[in-house]
Amino acid sequence: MDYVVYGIITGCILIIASIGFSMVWKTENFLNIAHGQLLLIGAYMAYLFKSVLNFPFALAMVCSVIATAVLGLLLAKVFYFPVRKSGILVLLFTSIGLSWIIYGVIQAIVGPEIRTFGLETSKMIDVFGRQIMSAQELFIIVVSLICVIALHFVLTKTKNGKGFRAMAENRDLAQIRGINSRQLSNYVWLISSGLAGLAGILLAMTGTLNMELGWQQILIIMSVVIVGGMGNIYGTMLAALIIGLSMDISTVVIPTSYRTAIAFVIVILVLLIRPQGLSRGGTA
Amino acid sequence: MDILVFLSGLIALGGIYAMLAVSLNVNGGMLGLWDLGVVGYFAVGAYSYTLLTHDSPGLGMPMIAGVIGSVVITGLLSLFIGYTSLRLQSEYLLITTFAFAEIIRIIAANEEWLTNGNIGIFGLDRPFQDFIPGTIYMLFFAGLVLVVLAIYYVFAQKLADSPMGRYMRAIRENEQVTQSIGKKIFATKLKVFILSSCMVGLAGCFYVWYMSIIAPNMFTSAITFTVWTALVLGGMGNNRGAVVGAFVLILVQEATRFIPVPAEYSILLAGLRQFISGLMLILVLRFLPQGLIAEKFKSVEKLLNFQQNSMIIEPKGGRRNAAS
Amino acid sequence: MLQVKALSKNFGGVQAVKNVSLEVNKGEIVGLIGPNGAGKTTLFNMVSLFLSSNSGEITFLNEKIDGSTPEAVVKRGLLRTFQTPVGFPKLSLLENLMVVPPNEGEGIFETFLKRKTIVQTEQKNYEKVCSLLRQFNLYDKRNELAENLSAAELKLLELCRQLMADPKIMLLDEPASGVNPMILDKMVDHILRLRDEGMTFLVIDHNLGFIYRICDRIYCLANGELIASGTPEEISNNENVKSVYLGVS
Repeated sequence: MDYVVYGIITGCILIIASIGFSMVWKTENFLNIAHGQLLLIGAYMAYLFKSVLNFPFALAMVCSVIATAVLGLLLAKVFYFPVRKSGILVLLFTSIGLSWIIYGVIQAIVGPEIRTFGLETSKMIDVFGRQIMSAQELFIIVVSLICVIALHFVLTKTKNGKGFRAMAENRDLAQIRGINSRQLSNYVWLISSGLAGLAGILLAMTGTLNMELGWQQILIIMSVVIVGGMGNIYGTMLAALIIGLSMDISTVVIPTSYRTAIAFVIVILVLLIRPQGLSRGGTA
Repeated sequence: MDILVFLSGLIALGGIYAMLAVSLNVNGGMLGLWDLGVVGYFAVGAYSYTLLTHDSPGLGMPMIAGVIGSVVITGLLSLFIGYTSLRLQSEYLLITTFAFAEIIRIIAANEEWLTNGNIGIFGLDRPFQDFIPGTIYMLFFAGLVLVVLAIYYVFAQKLADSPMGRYMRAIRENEQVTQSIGKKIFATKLKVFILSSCMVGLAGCFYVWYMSIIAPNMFTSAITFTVWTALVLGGMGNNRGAVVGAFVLILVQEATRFIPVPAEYSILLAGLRQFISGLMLILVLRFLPQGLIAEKFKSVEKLLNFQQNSMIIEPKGGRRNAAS
Repeated sequence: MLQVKALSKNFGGVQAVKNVSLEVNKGEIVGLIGPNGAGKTTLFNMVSLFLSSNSGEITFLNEKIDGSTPEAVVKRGLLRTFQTPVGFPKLSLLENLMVVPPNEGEGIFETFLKRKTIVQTEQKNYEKVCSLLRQFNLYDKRNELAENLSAAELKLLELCRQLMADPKIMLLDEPASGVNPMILDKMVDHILRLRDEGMTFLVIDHNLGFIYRICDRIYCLANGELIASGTPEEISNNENVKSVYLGVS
């Protein structure tokens, strides 16, 4: 039972981490490897606000998410927008270069020590007399749920959200219909980076904060997005839950250290059986 | 003397990366496969060599058998990986190969009975170490690496200039059209993929000799990215570019070790190395999208040593030979 | 020569091609027309086996070819072009064509072991390529990269590429689109000349003038279904065809 709870938590964090990546892939047509480093930025920003500036944790979180969102958009403007016309390969490698840059800068600032947010261990919540999860874990799930619901409303109710979905359906048609792609693109980068920052914080809450977090997560994020079907937001959510659950439940039968390997095995199997991912994305 | 050792170490490391970059250029640059699994074949080559030659764990076989064995094992594994993943296109191939490489690293870190896990295996033998004094061993080793690199280079260049190279570039340029003229693309991709992986596997043996230890943390995805960065930096599809890119990248990354700084700044420097590599990659992509040395175009006539005048000038009137 | 019987194709519930049958005889130029989305290119893709069909039968030279591979039908002499004639942009014209014929050098070991035969094959292919390029007035540009050609020249290059493979039938997907009238005349001349030499064609195009000029017979598709077939004259007077074209444009 514990493993199911862990799995759900992992899945929730993966949802938050992957949606942004998926949105960028859909609108900009490239794999943004630096997305993983945005997680790192978010987590260290929160650390900065919480442990260095002594903000309350909730405020630190909000500040960090906003800061990461803005920073993500700025980085995109500086690094990606000028080379958009050069093709997806150039964008892909630019994002790898940007990953090195972010990684290097953070490493130079914080060094290799492993840190934590220093949150107090929260007490367990009883449900029908069984302790199923800690308040912190519940918090992660609730935050993720709120995000997913909020995102759903943004995508279905706001003008930009509808524009994004139209773009996801058919890029050319969306442009013909006069959807402002520049404004839309800013908006996608903001949401995507903010979500990445949030995912980084949530991830650091469940464990420790270390430099390799970005590189470790980007692989799992890519697996999730592929399994979910290219750029399909709801497919991505489902895939995140499936992969999160399989990763943690698998530890019942195989050593914990193979946990991440499960995600990769799943993605390889899915690609072999259904080269377009679980749910149908648009044609590439 | 220290400088000499340092320099030959730098050349050896640069040479190993150049070997990787040339190997990657064969399938990534010329054939256009988005292969992010480089470090996987590198690790398999290195580990198979170690386990074949080392006594315990390992089979204690002679060095040459270890080298051959490691190439064969890497080849077999890449046959499996290639057969399962090469039908996928661009991003999907990229992620699958990436995932395979990660699985290989995770296995290496966890199967302690086989690989001694995260601790790794120490004090591995180097070729001819009994005959060459330790002080100049690195110099000798750097020479050895350069010789093998030269062989790699000539081999890849011959391949590039041959009909095979042309065919590979055709697949890279337009897979659909290549298929429409009756070529068996999958088989070719698989063959080239295996070739490239074997070359990477062999480079793995050199990496083991260079480090004289082996551990899973030597085989993180950072190596894959470094090799790709070197290739993009130097110029995709171009063997000379691959070599230059690798040396430039390793030089820039390692040159910072020269700067005498107090220990507390070493972290700053480590970060700086990453920063510079990333910045170089981005600047080259923006201002020299073809890389430092662009892929060079050689005319067919030059390759075939034709003299223009000796050609039959008279048009043949459209009659096509039945056999060709 | 080429028979298509009751061919159908579904894309996730959408019937792109419905029960289409057609026939091309040796030495004929057959046109395939229809508005956008009528299923013409899908039909081409199925005949050249780039796509598998859901049902139906394709016979080429009295042998069933459906279920075979694209490579195998090319070997038998069925060649197709693509709507967007990009070719191999970063290869020179010579290379674009030299790569076509089967070449023993296209192997890793062969590259190093069979040097002599490779040079001989290359020499032979080179002469063939040059004579072909001269016929199509592209010889002077033989060392240019294909990306530097104009759209019309690329269309000609497509024809050359197919001819290098010794086709018995050529499936041309919009050979006249984006081609100016002068080059179009040349294109017509080339196609008619090749037909006189015994070539067979199946041609898709939107330029009805061009189709009427070269074709012996024409099939018209709309919404995946065959709505008319006949000589250019019959088709140009066919009410169904008129309504389909007027309805769209």
